[in-house]
Amino acid sequence: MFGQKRKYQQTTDEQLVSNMQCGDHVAFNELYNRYSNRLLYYFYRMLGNSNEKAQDFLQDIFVKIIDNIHTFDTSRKFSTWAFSIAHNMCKNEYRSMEIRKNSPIDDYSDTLECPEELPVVDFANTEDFIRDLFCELENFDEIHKTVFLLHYREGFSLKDIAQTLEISEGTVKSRLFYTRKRLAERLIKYHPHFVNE
Amino acid sequence: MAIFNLNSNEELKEVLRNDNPPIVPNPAIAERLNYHFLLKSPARKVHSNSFAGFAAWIFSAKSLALKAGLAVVFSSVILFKSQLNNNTSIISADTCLTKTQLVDTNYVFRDTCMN
Repeated sequence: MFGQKRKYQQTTDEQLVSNMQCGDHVAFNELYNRYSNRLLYYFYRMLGNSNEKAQDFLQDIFVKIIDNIHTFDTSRKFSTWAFSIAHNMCKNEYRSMEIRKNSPIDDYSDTLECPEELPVVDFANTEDFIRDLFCELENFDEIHKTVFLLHYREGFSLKDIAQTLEISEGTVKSRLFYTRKRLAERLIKYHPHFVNE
Repeated sequence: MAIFNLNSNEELKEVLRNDNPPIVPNPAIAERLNYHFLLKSPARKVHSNSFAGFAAWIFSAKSLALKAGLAVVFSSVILFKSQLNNNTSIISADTCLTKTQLVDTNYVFRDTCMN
């Protein structure tokens, strides 16, 4: 059992999925360990920094993965498949949020409070920068946020993002540039020398 | 005042990778998912143990030479076995019928069976 666990640490994601398809629960545990933090972070940042919602979505995505594991083509990358499911879940949630927008009851209790205008501060550290960055990112739609997070947090290439979101590489590139440009305009106090590429 | 260069992909990547919000996956989720996985597994095992795959292979046009070879071996075994059975089935007696002597000691038995 422990030997099997150690062996799986060297195994690729796709091989783990292949073993999962045969009912191997140790392979599933290894895959969960590899992706739970990454997906939780993605949901947390995509869904208004709500921990509760992110935890619910984390459980839901793994239920979907288990239920549909036999449909996964092991010649594809597991990471792009998993994040495409995550993106679709967020997209559906954004649609639901649009419907609930005018509802008086909103379950977003621990979301970030973003000021209308960013205050000018004399000193800022990385934490301040990240807080303001995600405050600004809240103003973008889900596709811009996803492209930004997949590229800068997950390290996905433009090609991988294009496959994940089923859009062209050119669209990914333009979305990424637009997001960065808008962020730069809003976060000018952190980077006085931003120039358009 | 710290300066973050938004022109630099690497710098942005570095900043975001070092972002650690105070969230960890709830351990109860892992337990529930393990249970869900175990519930789903038997269905897949039954599927993998079914004869559908074998039947599909038998009636497909794949590996015809192998199938022909197996058919020849199977037929030979049957023929050889029946040949062996013929050799050993020599009747060494005139008959294998045995006659049981019924003793009619009872009149009811005699009236019903012996007539």
